[in-house]
Amino acid sequence: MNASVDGRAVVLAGDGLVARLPGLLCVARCPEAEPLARLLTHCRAASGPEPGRTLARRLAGWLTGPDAPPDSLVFGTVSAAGGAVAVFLSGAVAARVGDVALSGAESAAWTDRLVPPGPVRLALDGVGPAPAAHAVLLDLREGVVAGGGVEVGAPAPASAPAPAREDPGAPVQSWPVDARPRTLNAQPTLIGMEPADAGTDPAVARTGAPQAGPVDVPTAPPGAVAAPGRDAGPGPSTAPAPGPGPATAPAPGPAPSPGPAGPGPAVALGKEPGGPPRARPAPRRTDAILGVAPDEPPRPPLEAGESAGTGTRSLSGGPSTAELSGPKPGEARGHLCSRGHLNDPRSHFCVLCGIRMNERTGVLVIGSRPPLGLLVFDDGATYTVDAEYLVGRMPESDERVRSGGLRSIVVEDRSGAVSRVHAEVRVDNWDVVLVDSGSRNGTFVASPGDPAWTPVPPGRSHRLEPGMRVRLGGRTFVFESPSGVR
Amino acid sequence: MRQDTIRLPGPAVAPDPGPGAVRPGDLTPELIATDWWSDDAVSRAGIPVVDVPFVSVGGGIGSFVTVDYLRICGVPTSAIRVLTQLESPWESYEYLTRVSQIPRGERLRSDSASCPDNIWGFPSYAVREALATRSPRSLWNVLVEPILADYYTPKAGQAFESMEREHDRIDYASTVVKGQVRMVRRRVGGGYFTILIPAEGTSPTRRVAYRSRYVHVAVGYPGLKFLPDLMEYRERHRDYGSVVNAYEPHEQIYQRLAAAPGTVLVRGGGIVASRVLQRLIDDRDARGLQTQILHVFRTFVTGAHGPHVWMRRRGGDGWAYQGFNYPKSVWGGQLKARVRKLEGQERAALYAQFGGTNTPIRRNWQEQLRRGRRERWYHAFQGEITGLTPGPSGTVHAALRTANGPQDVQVTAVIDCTGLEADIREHRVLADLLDHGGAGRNPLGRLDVERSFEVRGTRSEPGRMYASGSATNGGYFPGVDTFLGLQIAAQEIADDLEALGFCARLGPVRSTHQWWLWARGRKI
Repeated sequence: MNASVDGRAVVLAGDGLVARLPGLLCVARCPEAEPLARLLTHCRAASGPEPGRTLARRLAGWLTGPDAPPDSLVFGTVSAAGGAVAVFLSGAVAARVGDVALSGAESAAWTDRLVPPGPVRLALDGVGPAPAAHAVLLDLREGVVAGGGVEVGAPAPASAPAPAREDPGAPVQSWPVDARPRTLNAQPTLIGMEPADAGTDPAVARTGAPQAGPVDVPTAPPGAVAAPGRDAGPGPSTAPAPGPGPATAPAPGPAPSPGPAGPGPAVALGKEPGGPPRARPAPRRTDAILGVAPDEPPRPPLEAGESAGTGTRSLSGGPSTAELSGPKPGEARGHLCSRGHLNDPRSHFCVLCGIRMNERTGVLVIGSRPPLGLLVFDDGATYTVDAEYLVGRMPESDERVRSGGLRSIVVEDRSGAVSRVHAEVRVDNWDVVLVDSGSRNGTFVASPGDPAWTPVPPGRSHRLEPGMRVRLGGRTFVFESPSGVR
Repeated sequence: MRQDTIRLPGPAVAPDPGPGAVRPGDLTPELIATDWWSDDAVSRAGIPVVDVPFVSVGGGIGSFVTVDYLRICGVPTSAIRVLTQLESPWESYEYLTRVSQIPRGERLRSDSASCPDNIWGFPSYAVREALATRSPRSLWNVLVEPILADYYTPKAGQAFESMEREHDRIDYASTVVKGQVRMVRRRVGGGYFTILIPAEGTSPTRRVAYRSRYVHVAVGYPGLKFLPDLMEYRERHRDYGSVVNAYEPHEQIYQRLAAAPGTVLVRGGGIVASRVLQRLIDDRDARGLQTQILHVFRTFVTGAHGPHVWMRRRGGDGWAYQGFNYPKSVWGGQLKARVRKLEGQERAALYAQFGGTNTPIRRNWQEQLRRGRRERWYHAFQGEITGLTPGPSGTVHAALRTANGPQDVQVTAVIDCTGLEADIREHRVLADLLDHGGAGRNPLGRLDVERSFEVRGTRSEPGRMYASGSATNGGYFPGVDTFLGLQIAAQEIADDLEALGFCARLGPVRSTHQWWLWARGRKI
């Protein structure tokens, strides 16, 4: 593993493929190409700053869904999930993250765990060690290549407080959180957990591992794993009390963590009392290991349904890192269907998969908002309401269109009654609203089945209902919505 | 809005619930992990308990029909609670029929005497329609059907309006409690606990437990499952407007075809496909459109089919024809008698024999499609869609595998009139029953019920748990997911409850008296 101590990914030889995408590593093997392609599609769709949970849910949904891949597909992913690393293994694949070794071959379905960050080795069973020759030159930054495994070591501690690296041959002691080898219950997580109960034992989730106790400490007692809907209770947090022992032996000095000095991610996450001010949270280790630059520009909105997965929030807890904030642009608060697609809280059926929406507790979840409907113009042109639009004869003359804040819909009207900037179609939470932009001849709406046109007062927003017609000058369009919410 | 909003995915995750994560009135790990609950455990969790003898979970037409029966058998509203999220029992059904092109003015596919508002089936819808319209036409129709006329079927609006009248007559509203049912667990000492998540602001705690001797589960279809290719296209290309399932709102497609000529690809051979084609052709005729229709059947039926001469179904031009979604004898004839005696694989095999996608043969549909074939704007063929990709200017490119080899078509829209029914495990209440309630699956994979519609394996003496509706399809009585099927289930349940002393017997005197009250619209 010393070949990859500096955050580079070294591909191990083998007859599968290895993918490194933003935030995740994937290793897979299958005689057919199609399941591999689909796997990569899922990985690409989830990749980004923190793909761990999304990816795990997507994969679980895929494996249990109607288009489940054949058993001949074996694969594993390791991805960033907050301050932890999400490992998902299906079939004869092994992963080692820090000191945690997991194997997919030991599970009936799959293995799905959150583990503390550390150097990663993800390989198909039977794959040999990293190539010795030129190892220091090998470096897969991003892409998909042939191989049987991948090793990613600790990041180069450029900003870290002078880690001692005199002995490059020594075993990597990147994270002195818990240097002891441990075995984990590598079993498929069977927990159907309610979203509100996502928090878990803080001791396990944040500091990576109990600080003392017997050598082979499972992260959670088996009972907690088997219990469905695990409302966080007085579970494992009470079990291993911190105390003196071998766990404290590795001195915190050589921590290459870019975070402030201190033992492990508990400090990096800014939770330790008395720590430095957390004006700027330090980049996470997972970011460094799994290839996400801390200042990665925001990527385009996730595709609908990606914000979650099969709905079983089965991943153990998860480090609670940031304060709760409201929805960002392109996001909304909604209900998840049982398969994890975000929906308007008012809708009865999932807009993506058609399942009834009464499956889950009424906990609101923030996620990527699916398209809210369509504008069907009288010439047959259609526009999906997944963005906000400015409608008019020359909408690009408006600064908001030029700056990319609004998309333009150019409406040609021989009557000349359409203004250059006529009306806006805005998104307000789960509603689509129409705003007249001070047009010369006004904007009118008509409810379905109502022959009368009603003027929309300039500057005031008017909620569009499915089937509602809108008139600008001599042109009309209809708003239709797939959600069935009226 | 609840305070426990969480964010997925992204850097901010659930707010830390802190050490006191289990609030009073919440489910404790002990409860979640235990199959049998004691009164003590529930009270320790701080969950308030409401006592009521009979609880119905679901609140759709299944609950309505059962409650109607019990009310007629003399059970007061105070002894019944219907736990539901629906505004009215027909809300969900009406939504699905409306979006699948059966608005209130169009006719359902249901028999004249299957009246969810009237347990006697008399007077039937046809008689009532004849009285309301002062025209003997519907009576003549039921007299000569199906030889000289198509089967009479009621208009959707008629069914909803008559249910509304019965809803008011039996004071159904006072049995309804709004909220979401999370689970039903057996109670130590008999009966059941039904955990309700009440509507926001109606309860100081997040859960309320209904402690009852009897529970009726009628949660309806677990849901539809759109086919994977459809979901993948929408997920990948973020286009929800051009590739749609017929069971979701898709008015935009008709609007687009009205705005500009186009081609539409319809998939499926059931009644929904028939209704969608009718809408396309009606629009074509009424507005002078030039819509081209491609219709792909996975199984292209060319003629009558069936195992033997006494069990044949008509077919042709791709379709399998049948008046109702099951052969009529499943409700009261030889198929009902046969299925009642069969177990296991034998039952599943007979279900497979009389099941399958089919559509009623209706004369106006036949005429429309004949005209379409003649004028070459309707093309039906056997095939499967193998790929969907966005085409130029808002079109969809569909790759098909047909009997004549692969074909590529460019269409304005794809309307998928097929759909799988989701597994019962997709419904959390049913999944919990399978995991913790002792329930099992029948040969078709649905909830296993006895002939009395008691859910097998869930008994908690002296309590009983019953189920009716689509979730029980595959049992000793076929056709459970129809109006008449729901009524037959309600009858079996009421008979069982009468034997247990919960309700009065519906003998000739009570029945006649109650019918008289119904006919006069007298509240009970």
